[in-house]
Amino acid sequence: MKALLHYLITSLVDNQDAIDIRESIGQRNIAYVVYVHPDDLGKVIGKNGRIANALRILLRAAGAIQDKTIWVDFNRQPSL
Amino acid sequence: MIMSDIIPSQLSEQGQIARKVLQDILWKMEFPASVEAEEMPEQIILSITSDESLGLLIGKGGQTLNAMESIVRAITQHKTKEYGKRITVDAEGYRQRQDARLEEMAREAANRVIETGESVMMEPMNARDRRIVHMAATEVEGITTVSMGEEPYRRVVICLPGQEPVDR
Repeated sequence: MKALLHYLITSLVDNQDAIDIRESIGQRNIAYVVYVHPDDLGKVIGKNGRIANALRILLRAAGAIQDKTIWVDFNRQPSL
Repeated sequence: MIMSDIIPSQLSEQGQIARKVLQDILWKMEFPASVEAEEMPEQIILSITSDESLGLLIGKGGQTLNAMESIVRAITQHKTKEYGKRITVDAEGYRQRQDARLEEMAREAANRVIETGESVMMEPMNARDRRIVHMAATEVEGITTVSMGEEPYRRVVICLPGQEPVDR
């Protein structure tokens, strides 16, 4: 799941070194917080949150294959 | 043209990248499926085929298919650095069937407008579906269409010329 998310985010941003994905795994669910360079936040969120929503829907479908509920949040890298 | 006749080398750079992106996504989802690409002058159609049922990839009302389409588009645009052709993602002919239904609905509504002289407001749809309604409805002579309202509740109004509501 993390590999899929990492692939998607890497493919959308310019500053790939600034990507940080935090994962917390529960029994039936996995929560992710994706940190990206401040300049890239717009690219992963998209106009009206279009891309962020699409990413959430896609991850949810991927999670359903493994019988897991997936949560994804996006934020700017605080150290930059 | 039959899709299986198309080999990757006949695809443009954008077509090859888009196909690879979708294939990579499915691979990383651990979903056993393959992607066929068909490229036309104005659009690229990526079709997912699998021995598994594709219901999970289509989602409720096609929402997972729409999500995959948005993401494949965004990633392809980012990689090619240009807007390029319109990219459509389909699975098991789902889009084709839905589009045919939408066109039928739009034509029926347009004919009703001609008969009754009263405009018809369609249900809220995304930009892709509204485009299909616009095109099918305006094929009926004497019909004009406008979109009104804000996303995601924007809807098409089918009416007679001069009857157009004001979009505000």
